[in-house]
Amino acid sequence: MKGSNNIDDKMVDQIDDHVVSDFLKQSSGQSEFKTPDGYFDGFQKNVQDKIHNNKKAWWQLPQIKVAVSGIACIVAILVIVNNMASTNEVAQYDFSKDELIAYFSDNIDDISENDIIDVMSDADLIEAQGFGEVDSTQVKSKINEEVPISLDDISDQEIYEYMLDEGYEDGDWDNL
Amino acid sequence: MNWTDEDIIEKIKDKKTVDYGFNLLMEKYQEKVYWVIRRMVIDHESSDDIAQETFVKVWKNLDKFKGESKLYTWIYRIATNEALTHLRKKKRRFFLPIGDVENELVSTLEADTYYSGDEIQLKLQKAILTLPEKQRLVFNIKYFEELKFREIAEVLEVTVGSLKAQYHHAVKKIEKYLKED
Repeated sequence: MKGSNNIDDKMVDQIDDHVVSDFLKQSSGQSEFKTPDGYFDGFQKNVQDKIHNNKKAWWQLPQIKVAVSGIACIVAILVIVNNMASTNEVAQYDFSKDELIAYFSDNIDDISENDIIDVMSDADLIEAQGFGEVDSTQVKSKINEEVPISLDDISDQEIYEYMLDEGYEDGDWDNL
Repeated sequence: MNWTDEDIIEKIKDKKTVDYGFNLLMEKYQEKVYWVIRRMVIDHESSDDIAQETFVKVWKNLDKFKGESKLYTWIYRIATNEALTHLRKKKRRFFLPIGDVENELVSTLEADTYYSGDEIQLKLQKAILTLPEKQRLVFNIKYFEELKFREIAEVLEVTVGSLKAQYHHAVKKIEKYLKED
């Protein structure tokens, strides 16, 4: 059985080879690919040169390549971080007063008094509250301070006017 | 003197004669290696680079050659791998689809100053260049280098059966190309 397979294989090979060789019979039969004159004479020397000159220069060593790549990465990260910091600075100070006023006007309902005080400069606070020339560190604490209202702070005249506004007649409050 | 592979291996294994043994190896195989590569990559300059690189690799890996396969099988395997790697790199470098690589190789062949084939030979080469890389390699080694299927199977690490099938398909495609064109 194996023998018959071999015979079949040989026949297939011969048929296959004949297809191409029959076609090539029409050609001149000369070698089609050429090499420069004496190419194979110098081949061994070229290979030997390649083997002995293949030692890499120091800048081509893998350790140096890794170190240079690492330094390049660190420099790149520093540049990016520095750029981001300067971008934030611009975002913080690059609005005009009119733009800020327009923003606060539109969003005033969403902003608490304390939020506004936090973002205002000390000079602005002094100007807005009419504190005059005072120590700026005292200003914010003074504004934030919750002062309890006492009756001593209200004059009799103010109480009288308030009661009249509320609809009490003169002398009614003596019965309260 | 006609050195056998066994003689060459013996010289290579002895540290005193390793350089001499390597020169004998190159002397014996340089042309065979060059022509296998040349028929795959077509142009002389690339073939020269790849053939030299093949022997540099052989030199660097001499200590890894254990003699489990035949010397010529091992050298042919390195050479064919180098040639195929070169073609794949070329494909990647120029983002070429498979068809364009064939066209590019045909253009290279026509422009190569070291190719002097007549019309018939050029037509056959064009037909061969239409084959997929592996089929082309099998056809070239079998038809032009006249290696036996068993030897080619050892080089390419495939079965004899699949090689025969590939060779047969290759010849059929070439035949069809020659009849159509």
